Formats: sequence, C-alpha cells, structure tokens
Amino acid sequence: MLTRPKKKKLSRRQFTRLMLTGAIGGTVAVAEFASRPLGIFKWISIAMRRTGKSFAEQSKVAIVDAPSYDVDLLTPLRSAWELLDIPPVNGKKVVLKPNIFYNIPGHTVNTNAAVIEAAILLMQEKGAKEVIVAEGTAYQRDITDLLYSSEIGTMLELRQVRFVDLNHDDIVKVPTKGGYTTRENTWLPRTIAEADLIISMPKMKTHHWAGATLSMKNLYGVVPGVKYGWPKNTLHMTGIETSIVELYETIAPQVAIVDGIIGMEEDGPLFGKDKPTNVLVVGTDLVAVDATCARIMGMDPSKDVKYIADADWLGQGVMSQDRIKIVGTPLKTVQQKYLLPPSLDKELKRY
Amino acid sequence: MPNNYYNQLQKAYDFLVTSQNTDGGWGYRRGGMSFVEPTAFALIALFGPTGAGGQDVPQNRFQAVQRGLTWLRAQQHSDGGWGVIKDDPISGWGTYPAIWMFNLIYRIPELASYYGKQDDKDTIDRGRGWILNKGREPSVDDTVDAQVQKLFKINSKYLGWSWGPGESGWVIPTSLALLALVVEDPATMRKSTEVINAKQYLFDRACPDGGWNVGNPWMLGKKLPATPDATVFALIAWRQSLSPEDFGPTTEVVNNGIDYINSIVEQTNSDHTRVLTTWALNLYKEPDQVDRLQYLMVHGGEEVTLTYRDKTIKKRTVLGQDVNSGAWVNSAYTTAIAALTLSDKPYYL
Repeated sequence: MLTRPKKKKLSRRQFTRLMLTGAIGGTVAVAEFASRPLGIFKWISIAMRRTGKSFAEQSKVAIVDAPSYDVDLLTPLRSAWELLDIPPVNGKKVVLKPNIFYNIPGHTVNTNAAVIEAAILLMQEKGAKEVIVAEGTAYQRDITDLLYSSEIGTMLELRQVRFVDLNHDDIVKVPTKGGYTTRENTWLPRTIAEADLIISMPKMKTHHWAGATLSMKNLYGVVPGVKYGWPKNTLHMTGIETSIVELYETIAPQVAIVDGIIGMEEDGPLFGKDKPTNVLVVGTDLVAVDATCARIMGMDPSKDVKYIADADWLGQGVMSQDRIKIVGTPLKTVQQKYLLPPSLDKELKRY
Repeated sequence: MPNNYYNQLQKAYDFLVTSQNTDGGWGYRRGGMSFVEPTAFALIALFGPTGAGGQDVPQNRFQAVQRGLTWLRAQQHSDGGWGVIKDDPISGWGTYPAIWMFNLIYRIPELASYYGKQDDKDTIDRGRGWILNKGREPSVDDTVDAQVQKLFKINSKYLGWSWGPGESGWVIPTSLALLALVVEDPATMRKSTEVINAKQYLFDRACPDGGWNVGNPWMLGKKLPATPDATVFALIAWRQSLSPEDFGPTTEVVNNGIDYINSIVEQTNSDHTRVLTTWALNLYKEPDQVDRLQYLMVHGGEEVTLTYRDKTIKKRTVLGQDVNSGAWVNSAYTTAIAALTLSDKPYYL
C-alpha cells in the first residue's frame, strides 16, 4: 500500500519571506515598467553616474578671446587647448566636424573656415596621424557647392586636407548607448566609427526648436543621410533632446571647439542675425562647454536649452556653473544677451 | 541621328562594369561598399540601348548586369522592401529605386528577355506593396495638420513618400517613389489616386522662388531656398507623371523649377550637380538648347578663381568625364546619371 507523502507546510517565517520577496519583486517589476522607456535599472545606473560626477573634479572649459576671423586664430586656440587636460592626439586619426548647413545670403550660418583651419593646424602641430574634415549636411545631398561658397572647400585645398561627405560614406552599425530612444543600433559613417577623436565644431547659434545649437546638437550631422534621409527627420521624431543625448553617449571620445567669434541670435539656426561675441570655447565635457556657451549667450541652460539639462541629469557631463572651472577669459567679461529664437508655442499663436 | 557622345557613353558603361564590387553591387564611390541606390542606378544606366539593353550586348556588360540583379534580388526583405545596404534590416527608401529598376525590365521587352527571372513578378508585387502601404507617410489628424500649416505653410493632407516607414514625406523619396510606380504602366498609374496625390504634394512643397528643397519651402514664416538635388528629382518625377490635365496654372511651378536649375547648371562647382541639372534640363529642353550643357558636363568647365582670406587659387572645379576611366568623380552613382543624360531617349521613364 502506498503511503501518500506528507504535505510540507510552510512555516510562518518561510511564508513571510516568500511574501516579502514577492512584494519586492513585484514592486521592482512595476517600477521598471512604470519608468520605461528609461526603466528603474537604468535610472539607478544614472543615479550612480550622477553621484560619481558629483565627487569628480570640476569640468574645465576654456574661453579665449578671438576678435575676428581675419587674425591669427591658431595662437588663441593653442592656448585654450593647453589650458585643458586633453589626452594627446599624437598618432591619432582626428575628425573635425564643423557645422556646414546652408548658404543663405546675408546670414552667417556655417562654422567659419578660419576656425576650421586653426583646428587643422593645431592637430597637425600636435602630431595627429591624420586630420579629416567631415560633415553630413542635413538639407542637401551634394555638399560641394556649399563647401566652396563657405570658403571651406578652398581652405581645405590650400591645406591639402581631406573632406569626407558623411552622408555618403560607408556605414557601420554600432550599438546605441543610453537606450533613451527605441533605436537599439545606430548607423554611423565609417569615418566617424573609426576615428580616434571627434572634434565637434559648431557655430554659436540660437535654434528655434532646441533653444541653442552647440557642440552636442552639432552631432546630428554625423549620422548618415543615406540611412536617415534628409533632413534626418527621424531624429526629430524620436525627440530632439533625446536623440542628442543618445548620440553624444554613442559617439565618443570628443572635444568641442565652438566658433563664437560671430554667433547668431534670434531666428537661428538659419535666419538669425549676426552677434559678434569674439570668443572660442573649448572643452572635453561637451555638456559643460554647451552650458558655458549658453551662459555666454545670456541663456539659462537649465531652462532655455533642454538637451543640456537632460545631459546633465543623465550624468553625461555637468551643467551647473559651480561644477565648471572656466579657464582663460572670465565668463562675465564675454557674456552677451542674445535675442532668443521664436518659440513654437508663440509661433502657433502668432498666426 | 548618331549620338554625339557615343564614345563617352561607352566609356561610362565600361566604368560601370569595372567599378562593380565583387559582391555584384555598386557603391557611391569606386571601392565603397555596395548600396541599393547606386546599384539600381547603375543597372538602369546599363539598360541603355547601346549599353547592355540593346542588340549584341558585350559579354562583360551582360554579366555585370546579371550579377547586379542577383545582388539586388537577394537584398529584398520578407516585407517586400529594401534597406540601404545588405546588412540593413529595416526596409526604407532603397525600395523606390530598386522597384523602378525592376519595373523597367518588364517595360522593355529586350530587357525582360535578357534579364527577367520567373520570380521577378513576385519581387515587384511585394515591392510595390511595400511602397504603397509602408513607404507612404501616414496621414495626420486635423490638429497636427493645422499646426503644420501655420509653421511651414504646407498641406499635410497631400501625402508624400518617406525615407523610412512611419516617417514624414519628403521631396526626393516622393519623386523616387513616383518614378518607381509610374514606370510600370504610365497610362494607368498616372490616373491612380496615390500618384495624383503625390503630384499635388510636389506642387505644394515647391519653393516660392522656384525649385524644391527637402520639402520645407517655408520655415517659421521665412522662405527656405531650393536645392539642386531635390529640384532635379522633382522635375524628373514630374516629367514622367505628366498628364494632359497637368497643363495649365500648375506648369508655372515646373517652369520655375526649370528656371532655378538653369541658374545653377553653369555656375556650379560640383560635377555631380552639373550632371544632375543637365539631366533634368535634357528632359525639358530641345536638343540644341542642351548641346552646350552636355558639352560642359562631359568636358568640364574652365578654371575658376577661388579665394580664401588673402590667398587665391585657380582651379578647374568641374572636371567632367575622366578620359581614362570614363567616370565622373570616380562615382558609379554620378556616372550612371551622366549615362542617362547622354542616352538618346529617356527609355527609363
């Protein structure tokens, strides 16, 4: 005759443990789903990264005077570079990524050729193995005429430096870092994926969607048009700010050199007015560089330029003025009051 | 009448053959990875009557086309679309030039007999299905439409085609999709709702001062200028989609686009833009009006003086066809478009 095995009963302690474990697990699962797309685990890792940043040294940003495009710009750029703790570029493949966007008569839209030239000379002086100037412009497929009308093409020929059209370069798929959009992978031009150092070289401009377009926003130009189309609207559809911070995290390491000699105020990035600001701003923490540029423009980065605030919150860099050490020219001596770009809400009400 | 540029055209075909990648595709530049778009364009160019599409096709050209077609057939996804390269798993705008090319094979009996395959009908059906169902931009609700009207002065009720599924429509993909769809059966397709709507889209997106850009003629109340590439593709698509009822006030938009291209073609410092703009003008003007432009496209321009700060250089920025390789800017894509421009008739429309 078979004896029925005796049913094991849970002790009260075991039952309590089981319930507690279930409750914790359930809470974590609910928190994970409720906090998506970021998720609780990502949130914790961001919190840890932010905590780490708060113990780190201040981010250095160099501001140097540069009175016009017609003077020697290599000397101030070199002094800015040497005020910072930038890893050596000796033997490296360096890609300079200016903002070459549109030729609109009467508006200084693009990074000036003289600033790009100074960066080329500096990289060559520092022993870079190769210096490439590259852009994937958003509004047209053939950039050649734009290169010549901006004088960048002529300067590159004089300096015998190679230009790469990032829109039609070979492309490679890299895992998207951050996971802030639904893009698991990002397609990048091979020139960008294989670079040892990318130097983002925007012009200091206001931007009607993003508040300001600076070194992080300038990274839109590295994604290949051949995959993301023109004007790369898919990045806007997944959120301008979200796409910017995700690209910044995906593409590294970087340095920023911002052309703030003549900036653009009001209706940037295309139709704004010239705003002579007479500075170059350089740094390795692009969040800190952009926050500093926003302050130079008279903007509050935490309110006026959401992607800077987002990047700071994500621990990608620092925005707070007390976490940034300005070297070179003091911030206060170069601060301006840029007229702000039209806001979407105001525009919709205006019509 | 013999083609004035027969020899140059043959050299262009030869370049296309020699610049083909070992996998059968073509890149945007010689030695670059294979992309769907330049592969489709290289094949469309090689289909020319004196290339690999007429009598007595040279063996190397025949084989190049076969290998190109094999590569392109293999890249079609299960949803019917194409990515931009072999490893791109998401179907997108590559579908438009691919279907343009496949449809062309069956429009021209010789091509079908040389290069057609039994499964191509299914390939085309699935590709066309992707274009109509996935490539077209989704419609928007009235609120979004009203906002877009205010900000950009465009009518979102006209649906164009997008670069990727679910995205907004833009001028170049819309033009390529039109070319892909209409070439199959022009008389029927020109009357289809989608084609009529897409033509309205192109008219709506025309820049106020002539031509087209990506698809934003206005930006917050300011005019955004035209660009040559978008204008050329819009004009080519318009030329192919032309119906008798299109004559009338709408042709002013087209004429403005042609005027814009006219203002660019001799001024450009880019071989690619010279080739593109000559292609468009070739389709709209009488042969004697484009003789000089074709000459410039083939032989390049004079030296120009370029200045940067206090330095000047003299340089031929537009070189034309390379006499040795037969290429324009060492690019299969540009060379393919140049070959289309030099062909006697627009067999590809």
